[in-house]
Amino acid sequence: MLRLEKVNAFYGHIQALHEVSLEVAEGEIVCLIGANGAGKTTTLMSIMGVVSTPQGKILFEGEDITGRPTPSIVHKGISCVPEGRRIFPQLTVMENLDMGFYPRRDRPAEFEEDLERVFRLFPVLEERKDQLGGTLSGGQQQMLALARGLMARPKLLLLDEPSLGLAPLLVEQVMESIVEINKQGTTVLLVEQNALMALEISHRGYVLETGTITISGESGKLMADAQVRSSYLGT
Amino acid sequence: MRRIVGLVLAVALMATCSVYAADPVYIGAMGAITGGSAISGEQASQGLILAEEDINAAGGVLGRPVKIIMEDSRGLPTGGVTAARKLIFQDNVVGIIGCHQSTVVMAIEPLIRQEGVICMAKGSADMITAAGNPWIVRVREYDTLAASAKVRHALDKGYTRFAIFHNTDQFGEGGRQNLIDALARHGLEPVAVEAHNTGDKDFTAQLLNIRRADPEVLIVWTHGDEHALICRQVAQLLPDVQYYGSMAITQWSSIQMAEGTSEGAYTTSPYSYLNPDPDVQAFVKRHQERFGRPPETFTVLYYDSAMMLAEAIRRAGTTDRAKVLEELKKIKGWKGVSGIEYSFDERGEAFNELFICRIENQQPVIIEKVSVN
Amino acid sequence: MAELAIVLQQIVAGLALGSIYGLVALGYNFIFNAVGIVNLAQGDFVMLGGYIYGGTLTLLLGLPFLPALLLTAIAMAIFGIVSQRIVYYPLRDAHPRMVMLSTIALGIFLKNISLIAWGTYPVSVSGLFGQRGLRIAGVSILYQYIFILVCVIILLAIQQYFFKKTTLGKSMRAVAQDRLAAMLMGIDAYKMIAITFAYSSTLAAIGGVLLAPVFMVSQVLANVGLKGFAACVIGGWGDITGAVIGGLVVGLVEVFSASYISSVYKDAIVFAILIGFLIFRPQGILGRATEVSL
Ligand SMILES: Nc1ncnc2c1ncn2[C@@H]1O[C@H](COP(=O)(O)OP(=O)(O)OP(=O)(O)O)[C@@H](O)[C@H]1O
Ligand SMILES: [Mg+2]
Repeated sequence: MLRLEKVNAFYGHIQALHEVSLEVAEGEIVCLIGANGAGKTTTLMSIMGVVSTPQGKILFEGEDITGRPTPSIVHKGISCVPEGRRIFPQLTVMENLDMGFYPRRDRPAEFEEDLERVFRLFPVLEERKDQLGGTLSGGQQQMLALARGLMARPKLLLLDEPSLGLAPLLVEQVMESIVEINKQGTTVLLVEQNALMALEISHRGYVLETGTITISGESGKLMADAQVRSSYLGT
Repeated sequence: MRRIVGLVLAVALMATCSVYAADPVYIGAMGAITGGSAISGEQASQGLILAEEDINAAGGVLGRPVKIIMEDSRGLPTGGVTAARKLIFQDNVVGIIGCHQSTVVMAIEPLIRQEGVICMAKGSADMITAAGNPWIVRVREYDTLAASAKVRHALDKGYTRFAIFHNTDQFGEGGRQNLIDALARHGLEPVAVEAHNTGDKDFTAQLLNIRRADPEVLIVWTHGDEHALICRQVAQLLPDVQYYGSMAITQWSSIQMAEGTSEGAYTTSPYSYLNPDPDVQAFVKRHQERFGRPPETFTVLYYDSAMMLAEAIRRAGTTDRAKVLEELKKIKGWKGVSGIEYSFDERGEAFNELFICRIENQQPVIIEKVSVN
Repeated sequence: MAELAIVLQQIVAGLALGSIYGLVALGYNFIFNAVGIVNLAQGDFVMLGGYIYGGTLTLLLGLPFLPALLLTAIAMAIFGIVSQRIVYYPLRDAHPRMVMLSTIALGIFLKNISLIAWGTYPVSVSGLFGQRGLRIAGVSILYQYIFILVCVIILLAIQQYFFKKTTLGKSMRAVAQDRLAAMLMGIDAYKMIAITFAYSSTLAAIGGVLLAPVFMVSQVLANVGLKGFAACVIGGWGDITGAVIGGLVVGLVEVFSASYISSVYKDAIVFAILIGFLIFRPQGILGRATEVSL
């Protein structure tokens, strides 16, 4: 569904990604793990067309989307739940979800249906639908961010560290909802520092080290990999 | 025949060439071309354009053409000093016409004195000639003259309750003091005195304070833009009070901007474009054809000043400033396109007469000419 | 009785002025809400709108009010997009302070250009009502003031509806709050910002058109921008109701302080209050809005 071929990414003159290649097949949960500053966020932002990628190719459903403007990539069916959630603090929960629905605004009839779907996944959002986004707790904000991403009915959902800053119980809950979302038919590319969690729920995984993919494979195998174990699982 | 025509043409060409080949005599001028009172500068420069043409059409001075250099004072003392320095040190002018703002004149006064340059001031504050600078003469009505003429005219009409509304700049403050003095000479005090700043747009608060004092006469001492807006707001808030304005109120632009609300207002003025005097009318017609509007007060005052200065240079037979100044001060009974006869007195004042005007049918109609002796 | 009439007249004048300031404040807030910057040329936009309407369309071309208003609005919308392209877009990733500096430059440029294009004479146009007004029990109100008040209320209602109910309005707010997140929603942020500038300029144009018959059009007209700025601070940045309340407060303070404290220092008093708000209550009178960092 998504394929990166030898992608280089730059911030000004600084090269953050070196020939990153990876693939996500339809129906999968693929995780991308790595340490601080490894280039995980950069990879996602490259896919979204936010970071410039002068070399390499990004293909989505066989179509070259390298260098496309972000809105057109979103309209193709890729949504991203960014690092740090980035919900709109001065918009209400409903308005936030409305913004998530933006790529499909020409089909207002489907709004209610999608809304019900995300409220079923995250009932707390329904209770707080008129509250300003900025007044939600961290966990609720993460749910809102996920829900907002889902409102676009993406074919591929990119998640950037959804567990960041959440209490262990909440992390568990968020991971469960990711599995649920995937079961309902959305392909997921999950970026995590919490490697154990990520590998547990994903089918395959990639390890990124200072802008280069070093190890990849089925998640079960990665969990057994000695190097992964020592560097990312702390065992 | 053809040969004779050719000869005449050649001689005429040579004659003009001899005037124009010579180095020009420079006359300086300054006014606000930019800044808050930029209108006045534009008016002045139109007068100077015509004056330069007329002087050169009459053969220039001393067999040389005259070039008038107008500098922008921005209406600010600092701008005036910069302009004066440029005119004196770079252009080596015989004299400077302007500025039309008293504060600017006072700022360049020391430089004028020190360098010995003629200054034909256009500010109306009394201190300009009171400063005792021999190089400064004034070709404009001065504030005590205008203030006493207004007060006397209003008293003659039977009014006794006066309110004063003045600009806070030096022009307005001087006017306030002169009016209070003029009233005091008749044993009167104003019932209200209010002030506003240049650039103010709304005068409701002040006009309502004046309304509380219930005056019969409102004397407003300010510039053109503010005048037009004050007229409009007075028409709303003080419809029954007799309005006396500053000279600016007679200006065509100010009357247009007042949109009829200046009807019936009196003012003192050195000039009205409606003056039936043929000299005035000839100039009005020319200006109208050239610039599409009648000349304003500063247009005619700058024009007259340039013409008198050129004449003084001719009479002096030199560009030596001291000699030119001496000849200038000897001018008596010079009829200007303003309609005023200028006679310089020992203080350097050219004015000893003034018109009382009334705005009728959107035009400043001359009611009478008052002279002081 | 006479005294009562005077106080009523003061209130009327304060509200009339205040609604004008409120209108200018709306223009500020529109851009502020969308891109988080203060367009310090907003007052000059008002002036430009006034000149286009009064100097060119009314006096030069002799157009009647409505066509002149419409053409001014269109011209200013285009001008807004162009100025966004020049002043904002190249600096979109720079600190907001840089953009604000470049809006100051734009303002100076506009003042100079208008001096060349329309000259030094104030442009005086009569508008729909000229100097006519109502007179009730010693209180006189210009029809133009009533007209301004009505226009401000209508614009306010439209703006409130626009931001709260339409997808375009909501997405503009989203862009303002988090541009990257908005882009990740598929919103074309730069298109939204261009629309914002266009509409804000149109608002300024309407301000200029409404003000021209009352204050005339000259370079000094741009000073209403300062009062609008004060209205924004007092009402709270980005707060639409607050802008109008702030405008009314500034108008009333101006008239009453001129009456009872000092007519000469009325502007200084307004700005002293402005500074007081910046220090002690930067979130504004309603206390809802976010603080702007200059
Ligand atoms: N806007 C930027 N400008 C310049 N360099 C950047 C920028 N953003 C990131 N970088 C650099 O690019 C590299 C990759 O950063 P990136 O944010 O992609 O890492 P990450 O794997 O997401 O890290 P984290 O786990 O901290 O989120 C880092 O060295 C970082 O310093
Ligand atoms: Mg990251």
